[in-house]
Amino acid sequence: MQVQRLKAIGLPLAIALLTVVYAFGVLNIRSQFDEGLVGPQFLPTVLVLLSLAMCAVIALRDIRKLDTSSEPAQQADADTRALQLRTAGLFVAIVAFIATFKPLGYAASTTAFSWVVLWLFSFGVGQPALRAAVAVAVSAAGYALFALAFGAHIPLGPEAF
Amino acid sequence: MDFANHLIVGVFQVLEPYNLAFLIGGFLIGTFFGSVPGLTSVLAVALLLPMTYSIDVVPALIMCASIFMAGMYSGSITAVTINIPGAPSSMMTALDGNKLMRKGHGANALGHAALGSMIGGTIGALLLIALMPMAAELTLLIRTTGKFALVMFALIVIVLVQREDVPKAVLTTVLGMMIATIGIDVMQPVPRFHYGTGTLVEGIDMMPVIIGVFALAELMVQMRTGGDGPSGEEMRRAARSMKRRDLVPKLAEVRQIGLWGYLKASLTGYGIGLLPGVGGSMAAFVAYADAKRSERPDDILGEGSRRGVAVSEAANNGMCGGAFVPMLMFGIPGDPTTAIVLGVLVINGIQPGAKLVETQADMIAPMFISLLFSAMFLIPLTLYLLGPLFIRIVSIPRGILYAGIAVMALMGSYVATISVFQMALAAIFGLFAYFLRRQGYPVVSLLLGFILGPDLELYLRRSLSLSDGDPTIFLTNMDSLFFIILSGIFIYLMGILPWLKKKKSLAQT
Repeated sequence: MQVQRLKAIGLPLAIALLTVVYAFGVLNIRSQFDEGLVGPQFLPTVLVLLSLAMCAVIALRDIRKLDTSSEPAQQADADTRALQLRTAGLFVAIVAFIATFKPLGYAASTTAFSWVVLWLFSFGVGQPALRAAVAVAVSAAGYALFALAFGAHIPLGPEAF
Repeated sequence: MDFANHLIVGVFQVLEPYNLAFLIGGFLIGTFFGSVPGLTSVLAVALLLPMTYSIDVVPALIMCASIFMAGMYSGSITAVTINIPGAPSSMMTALDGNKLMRKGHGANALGHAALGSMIGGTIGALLLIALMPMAAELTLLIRTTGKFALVMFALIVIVLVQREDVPKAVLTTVLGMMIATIGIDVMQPVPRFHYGTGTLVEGIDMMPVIIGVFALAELMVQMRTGGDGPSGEEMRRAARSMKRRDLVPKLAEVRQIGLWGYLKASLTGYGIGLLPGVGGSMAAFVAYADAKRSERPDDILGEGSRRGVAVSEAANNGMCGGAFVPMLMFGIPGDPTTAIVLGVLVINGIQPGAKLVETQADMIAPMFISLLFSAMFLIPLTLYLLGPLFIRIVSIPRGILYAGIAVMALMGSYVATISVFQMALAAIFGLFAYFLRRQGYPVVSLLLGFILGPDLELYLRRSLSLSDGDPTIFLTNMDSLFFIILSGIFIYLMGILPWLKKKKSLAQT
């Protein structure tokens, strides 16, 4: 039950924390001239109050829902857990792609990233050559679209930055 | 040159081979994205947004309009064939369309969906074209105080539309507005929320927000749901059962639906399109509910009614024309796709407003023509020529599809500004939007809050500086008073009244 409660209020709590960080930013706004009450700080202050109020409403409502619910807590089965892990893996792959884009350049980072996404979506299971070929094709298609068709500068290797 | 002349020139511009390629290409892309469950035309326009940096504004807008129209129509393909709406706006189509499919009239249902879309889309586009000069005149009557009240009204509608969870809609709208306040203040040259970093002084661009919220978050959602889609065999079977000649609706069936049936649904769709943030799903739902009220014993909606398919599709495509009006006149998007089209306009230095029709009609007229041509010609042509092929295409392996989308999304956010920082921002927004979506928060409100937040603040502060800080200016000016009253009516009709009804029915049980 405690875990479920935490899950229910986790997101509103995280948003409330972000709002507090944002609220510190409100304190640092310095006006260049006086506009009265409704200056550069006014709307952000209203937004902070609204955000905190809504976070509280949502969190309290979700906790109350849990308390009144007669349904037993559902445990994630193995398949769901695997999908959750894959989703986390996808985000890690995105972060890794962004981190390696400059050091490796487009060709290597995009091909590797495509390969990982294909693997995460279970494409080419037991056919590594096919998966690799499709990863190269996706990367090449991306280059053709952005660099050749639309004339954008795509650094193929690290030296091209 | 007056607007009518710009429209004539627009026709010739659209027919130029280069622009025509964007029109047809956009329509095919939109059809593909609209028909694949999980992908939407919003995603297609979001992915193509970075490319608008490297092409002219006219072909970019032509392409956006055709994607919009195609995406709205093509959700009906899988809605009818396998009961999985390709786009949320085709949910109502699935109710009757798939029943017809099971009775062996799948091709006929697709034909009615296309005809409904064609009529709705055409009426919506014609109304947009015909009423645009008048809308521009009306816009001139709305001054700063009225603009504030109008933006406020838009935000209220955006929140109220999420009937299931208004607090969550308020929160995501507020979050979007908070993101928009980062950077230089709207009235004074002072930076806000930069926390000592130079990059945040410039503010947050629309691009990473759109790519993150609509593309990367979608990938994560698809991954979590296992990327479920129709099986290849299921789609091949559906394609085999289609005969091209059955795709053309019979005249007797069209007569049974009636001219008024098509017209009413199209006008409903157009009217709903005028409301900010409402979108095609609501248009289809309202038109369907209206048709249900007048159903005949021999034509029960929900039991495989051709009328159900036709009105749903006429309404959601009719919405396309309506959604452009508030976006072009006030910068208030009618739905997520027009929100991104607004991004294309802003990127190219086109400011929404009454002057748009006077000074930049040469740029928007081809977009209107594209919307009209897409509805009039491309919907029926695509269905007749490529219908069975599209049914097969949507069974493309998910891995290839999502790998391509991931590369396009991330590279798109890079090429727009040649900045790895933008990619990182897109990833952060993507993760944030993923968690929001998992918990049932409406992320469209986040984007609309992000777009409308700066306008709300600007008009509020300008109004109060004009009145020396006196807030009664909003009540003494007719334009703002009108929108305040309208907001009150909407709050009553969409917020208080349903709540009272719910309370009453709970008390009765």
